[in-house]
Amino acid sequence: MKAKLVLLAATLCGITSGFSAVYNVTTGTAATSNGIASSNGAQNNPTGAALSGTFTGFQSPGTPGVVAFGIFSSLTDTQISEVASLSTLVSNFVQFGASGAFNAAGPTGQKGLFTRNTSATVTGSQFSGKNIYVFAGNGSSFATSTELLVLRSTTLFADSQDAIPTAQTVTLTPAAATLLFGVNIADIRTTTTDASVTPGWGTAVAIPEPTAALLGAFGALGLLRRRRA
Amino acid sequence: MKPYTYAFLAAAAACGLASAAETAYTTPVGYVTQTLAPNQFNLIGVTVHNPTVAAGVIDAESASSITDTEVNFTTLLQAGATYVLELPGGVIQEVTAWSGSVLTTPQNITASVTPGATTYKLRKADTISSLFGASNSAGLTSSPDGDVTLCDTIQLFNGSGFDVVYYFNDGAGTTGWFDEGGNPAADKPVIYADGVYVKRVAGSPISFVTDGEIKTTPTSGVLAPGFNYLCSVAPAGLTLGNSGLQNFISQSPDGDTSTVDTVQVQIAGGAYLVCYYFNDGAGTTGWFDEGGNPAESVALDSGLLILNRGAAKPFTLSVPSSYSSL
Repeated sequence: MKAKLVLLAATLCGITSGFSAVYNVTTGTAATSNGIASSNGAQNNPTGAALSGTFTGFQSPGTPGVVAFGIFSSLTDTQISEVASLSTLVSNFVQFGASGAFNAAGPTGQKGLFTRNTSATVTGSQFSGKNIYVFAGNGSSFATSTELLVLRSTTLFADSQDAIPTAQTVTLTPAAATLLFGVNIADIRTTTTDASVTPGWGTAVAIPEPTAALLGAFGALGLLRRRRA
Repeated sequence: MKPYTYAFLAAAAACGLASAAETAYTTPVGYVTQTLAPNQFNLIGVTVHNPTVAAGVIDAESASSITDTEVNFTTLLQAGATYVLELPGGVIQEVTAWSGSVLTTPQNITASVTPGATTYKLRKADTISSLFGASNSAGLTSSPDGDVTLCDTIQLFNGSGFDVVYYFNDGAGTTGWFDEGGNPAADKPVIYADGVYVKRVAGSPISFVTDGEIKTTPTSGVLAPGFNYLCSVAPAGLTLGNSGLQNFISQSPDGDTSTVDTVQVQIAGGAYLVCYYFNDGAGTTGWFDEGGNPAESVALDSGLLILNRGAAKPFTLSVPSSYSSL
């Protein structure tokens, strides 16, 4: 008869085992969910007043957009908000698991909603302990997008999630996410029968840095004004 | 892409043992291959089963037993083993005690039994060693020191958490299946209605093969509040569309998946496809996934999760209608 084993304590000594944590990051799928739409070319203004008017959210396959979550490898939140080139955001984004398109219409005519149920290892990775950042674009890929959106969720990537077989659901709401790049939108109707006013977010274009020639022109204008005085 | 593949053969007939009336019948059999991917939890299920060891008509019942006067279970069954009692309508019971012609049932199943008319089948439950090999023929990464964070583990939900089982091999001759508490676990039963997690560390994919009988009758159970870790029981042909599950879970009138029960099927990397049943009360119904895509054809052929957002409730998982011709 086998004796009961005496378990030996083992120190990990920096050895980690890379199990896949599962996260389900979503806007939700209800009429009251906070959706995402294209701002139709508005400039990045994360702290500005919400855009009014009618905006139609992304929808697969017609206006699919692209959405993923992860972290930014070196940009601070301030730098994200002030970035002058979309390519800077794209190159700095580190994706967790797989990206995907926004939701299809489904039975309720969803628009501007997404859900990303995907997995990757947290323990020992760049993600460990970092806030979850949601990254969305108006193109079929981030590289081809002409507008982008960055939200910082209050939820952190946790090592402990590697040990849990089911997904942790992270739902984006204005209370649970900070807009870092993009615009606020006052009302996005997320289903066909949605008649309520529910705020959301819009992808936006970057505000370019002034060019050297333009800076020179400003400088010359200043000298002219002094001469006249 | 699914994290596992399977192959199934509806193969030749096998003879099963009935009660002392010596009635022979044919039973469909086959084998299933599932891929256990490294670096993730693999949610699998046992979808081909041990042969029937006893079958017949229930002669008498009580709140805690059934009786078949034509069988002596004491001489027929293996002491210490777990058996699964099956009724045609789907009720199953884990049987661990018997005496003479009487099987002890853990629950009162009298509502599902008409003495003299209701038939039953009894089959031996699988165990860790019968599924994964007494000497770990499945090839899971073993542990040399009992540290379960560094080896593959088999995880079985116990109602509040998971029982964790691993294969110990110190390289010096001591081997075997053990649980986290150091207790021998080779004979731990694995009931086919339950989903099983195989959590794997780094390594190569493993082809996990099971063979046995195909159950051609439905399987019933109870959905507890929260996550339920289940098995499709049927090895092939079952989909959300023909599962009948929509009759037992809450249905969404508005597509809001945060308030409705969901059925979750594992996909690549250990993630899940989350599905729900839509019913707006105005004639539009159907299975959809969280991405808004139709989900009638989503296959249920291994482990699955059901998230029950309400109180405990019964459910029955159908078998494909084609099984009636097997």
